[in-house]
Amino acid sequence: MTVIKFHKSIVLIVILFLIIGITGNIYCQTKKPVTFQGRIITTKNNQGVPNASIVVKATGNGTIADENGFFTIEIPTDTSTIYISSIGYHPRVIKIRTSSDFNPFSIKMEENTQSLDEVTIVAEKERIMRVSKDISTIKMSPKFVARLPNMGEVDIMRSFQLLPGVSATNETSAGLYVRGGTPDQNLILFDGMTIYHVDHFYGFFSAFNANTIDDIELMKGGFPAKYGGRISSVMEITGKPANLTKLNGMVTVSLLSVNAAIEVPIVKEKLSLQIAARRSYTDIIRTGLYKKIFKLYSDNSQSQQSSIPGGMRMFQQQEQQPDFYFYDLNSKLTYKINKKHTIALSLYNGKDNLDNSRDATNNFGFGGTSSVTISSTDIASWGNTGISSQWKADWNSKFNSSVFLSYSKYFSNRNQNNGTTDSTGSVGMQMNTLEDNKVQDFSLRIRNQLIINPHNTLEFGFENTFNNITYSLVFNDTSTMVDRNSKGNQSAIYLQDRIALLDKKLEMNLGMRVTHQNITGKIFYEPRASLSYQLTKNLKVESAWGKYYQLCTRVIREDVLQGSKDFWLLADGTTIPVSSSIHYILGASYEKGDYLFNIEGYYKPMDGLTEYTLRTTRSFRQASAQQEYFFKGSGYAKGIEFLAQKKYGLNTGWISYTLSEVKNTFPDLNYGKAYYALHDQPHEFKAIYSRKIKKWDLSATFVYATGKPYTAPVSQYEVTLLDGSKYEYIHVSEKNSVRLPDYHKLDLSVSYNWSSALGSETLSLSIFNVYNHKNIWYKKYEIAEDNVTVTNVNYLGFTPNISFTINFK
Amino acid sequence: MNTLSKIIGGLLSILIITSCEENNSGTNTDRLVVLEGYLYQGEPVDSIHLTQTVSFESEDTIYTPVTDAQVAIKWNDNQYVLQNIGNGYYSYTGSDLQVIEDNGYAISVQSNGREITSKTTVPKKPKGILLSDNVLYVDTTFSFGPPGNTEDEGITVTWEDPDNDYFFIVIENTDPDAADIVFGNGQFPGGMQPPGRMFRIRSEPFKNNTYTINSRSLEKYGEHMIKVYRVNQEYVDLYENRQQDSRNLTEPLTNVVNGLGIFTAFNYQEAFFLVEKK
Repeated sequence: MTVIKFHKSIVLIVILFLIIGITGNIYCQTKKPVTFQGRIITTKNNQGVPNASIVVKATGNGTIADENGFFTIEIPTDTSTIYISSIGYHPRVIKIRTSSDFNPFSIKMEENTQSLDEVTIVAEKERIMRVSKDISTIKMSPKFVARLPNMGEVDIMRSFQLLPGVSATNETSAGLYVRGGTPDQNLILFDGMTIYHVDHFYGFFSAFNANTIDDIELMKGGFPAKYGGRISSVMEITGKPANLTKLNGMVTVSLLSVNAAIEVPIVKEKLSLQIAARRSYTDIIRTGLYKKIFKLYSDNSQSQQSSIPGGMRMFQQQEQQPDFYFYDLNSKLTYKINKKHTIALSLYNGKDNLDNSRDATNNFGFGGTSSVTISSTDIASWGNTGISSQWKADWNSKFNSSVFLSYSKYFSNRNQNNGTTDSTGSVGMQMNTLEDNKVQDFSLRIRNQLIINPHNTLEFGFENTFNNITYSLVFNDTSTMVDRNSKGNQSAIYLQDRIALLDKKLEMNLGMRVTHQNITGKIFYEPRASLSYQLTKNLKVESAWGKYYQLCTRVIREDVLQGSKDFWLLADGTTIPVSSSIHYILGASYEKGDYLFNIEGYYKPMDGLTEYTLRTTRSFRQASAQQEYFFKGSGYAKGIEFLAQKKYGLNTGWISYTLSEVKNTFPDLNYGKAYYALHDQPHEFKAIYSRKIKKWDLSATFVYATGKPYTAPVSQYEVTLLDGSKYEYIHVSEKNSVRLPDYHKLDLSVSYNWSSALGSETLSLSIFNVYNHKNIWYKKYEIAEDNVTVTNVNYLGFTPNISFTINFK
Repeated sequence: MNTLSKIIGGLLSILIITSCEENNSGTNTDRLVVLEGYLYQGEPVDSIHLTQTVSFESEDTIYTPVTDAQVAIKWNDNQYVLQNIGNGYYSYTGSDLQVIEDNGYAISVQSNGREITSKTTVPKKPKGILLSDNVLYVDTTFSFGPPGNTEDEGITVTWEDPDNDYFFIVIENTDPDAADIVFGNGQFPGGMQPPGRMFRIRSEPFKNNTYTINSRSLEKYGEHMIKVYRVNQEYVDLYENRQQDSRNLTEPLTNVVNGLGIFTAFNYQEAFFLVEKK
């Protein structure tokens, strides 16, 4: 029945396309518009500028260029002026006499290098964040993100976490929790490569080096048929086009890491190589200032123990700080065959090492009469490797294609060993956990865009992804809890049509994506639709709806004692279900002068969620003899987001508030009762402020959010059985029924920019967590024979950081 | 900036108002009642026991009995209030509350503003108990090895089990003047008694309709009673998960709502046999 319904949906959508296309054409004919088609390219290397905004000054009508810089716009037949702007580039004003003189037309935009001579123009149009005309879509440019407070590395993902609807409290995860979704539910494409894990440096940074990125677009929901394979959001990252004319270089040094990039035109106007590399050196040189500041201001750097008297098991608390390093390498080779064809080869390699090991001696008993040393080894490494080739072909001004062929690999290993030794030297129980997860992805993406007329743009394409995913979990070297090795292929085709009606007041994007996966043998139909209507000059209402499927998912592995973790697996339709979601989005935006106000509400029912836990209820214990304790469930996310942004002027920034709820229901977990998802945070408030004063850039970010839920051992009890034997148990709270304290912190940043004979230089000071609030990441519990130790694993306290950047001329 | 200030003010107000509705306490320290309620067919209700969980942040060093609870058992649409008889035990003093086969019983405990409930059904009495012999002859010649490593074949007990239920066995010596069984003339290394000597033995819950009584598991001569108990699922759940794995903290399953522990009922059929020296 479902298949029949979807077939009907396809037919209806095709009919709708035809009707709308026909009416669109009729409308065009009655107005007799002149179509102006062109492409926006950089002066630097003649590459397309993605997502630039083009506005006809006389009518106020506008459009957005595609990712290759192509656009089509309707202009009056008389002399017209168009205004072109794009984040990171100087805006341009172009006068056009007749379309025939210039059609097709290339418009060159010069990259904005923060030249102080042009401060008036720059200040007017520089925006850290830009709300797109498409619903739930926001763009950022790394160039202006650099002004925000950071930990020494300009971080794209961290900046996106400051947006409404994206959680900002995950300091140890660069992944995005978008509208109740988890990071694995976001499709992250970097030059066509699917990136499976974006954490770097213990999650403080993302895996993306901002120096290699040109533009980033985040679709928080209701994304079009062009994208698939994930149920929450899409982030499309466009790598910086190589400089084909001039040698460029830059170096950034901070107290944590060094970052260097170079662009080399090997054959002028033809072949160029770009290389960027980063490495932290906290494992080699813990800079004196770094250590000193940490000791002075952060209690986290030292283990603290406090004994709480009483209780059956003594209860102690301590704090810990892990040891870490990371590196990554980005390179891109670009070859411009001719004006119409460009090929590029991108390479990415990055790895992290984290050593969270420690020994702690705890005194127990009244008066500290005995002691036990808890030794904990916790070594983890993870990383990404990716390579992609891209071919972009501009067949003519109306038709272009992009082909991406990519391979990416993600790995994650963890070795944990916990053991106790008492004061007599007697070795107690040893517990060991080995975890290994590998994801390989071979993908082919073919995207085509056909501009039928200024009111109708058709996009269609094909995608094929082959995954090989392995995961193993072994306890105490011998007990294999999970050992999965799955291979699967998924193929998808899509068709979407962007249509404008009623003098472009009504815009809609209708599409359909059809995916086949060989493991389940099923075909998944994903209809998508978005619609916006310009009610008045300032007020626009918009909505989106879509069905989404995810065949490659990250499963939560519940760990009450040491914080839950997750791992990637491939859906098989049995043990690991196919995840699905439907997005319902409704919003409105009001723009007047320098201000933008946006409100969006969303509701996302989700099905096919998976969780792994060894804590089970009776029905599952009886039903399953297998060692793999996977549970299936469903859930929902709903919320409303408010955004007020001051876009232009000396003072810019935004404030946002999100009210949301994320709940899951797993029949075999928590006795079937619904429970809050681990990332549920009902209230989240963010304020971002930026000011430019001559050579100075100042910025501040404040984040407040409700504490996250977790499951905790809370007490203990005793039960006497029939034979009189007594058994003691540790009682664990209902699933995710306890919340961490609320999260809040303030970050500040000040930068000084100047020019010298070498180039343009920037000295920045960032202060992270200015008032040193102890935000708890998770609580770690260690249970020995007669004591329970709880460790508050905290996020960073007060941490200043200085960085120096030089962009060589 | 005035507009921006107003917006910030408005949003902060919303935030403060809505935040007040949330309880963000860092730790859940609520004390839960732990119920141990065992009902036996045909016997008075006199051993309902209530204790409390002890929070890790508490200074208590013992499991505190709950002495101020209102405890009632509902049976046949009537409610029977139990009396506190000390140390967390509650008993029904009247004779009108009877534990009868196939009847359902619900318990309600009001304590500290919270109601804890549970219910159970008295299982059917095991039927058709047959002993392979009425006398078990004990060969006291000592030999090493596990219990059962003897030449006597023991007594096999069987009963009807059409529904594949759970059972457990209790064997008790009923003769107060019975002599001790002494193996190997009492000459064991170190003067120790053989392992596993128990006056009263109790098996684990199991799914089977047969049980073998071996002389090695007995301690006394004379008359013995064997009770075959039919067990409800809730006791099996508790028993099978009585050991908690400190790695994942899986607790034994409970049929107590809003609390912990167990409320269950048993029914048994007894038979008798003699133990004599071979």
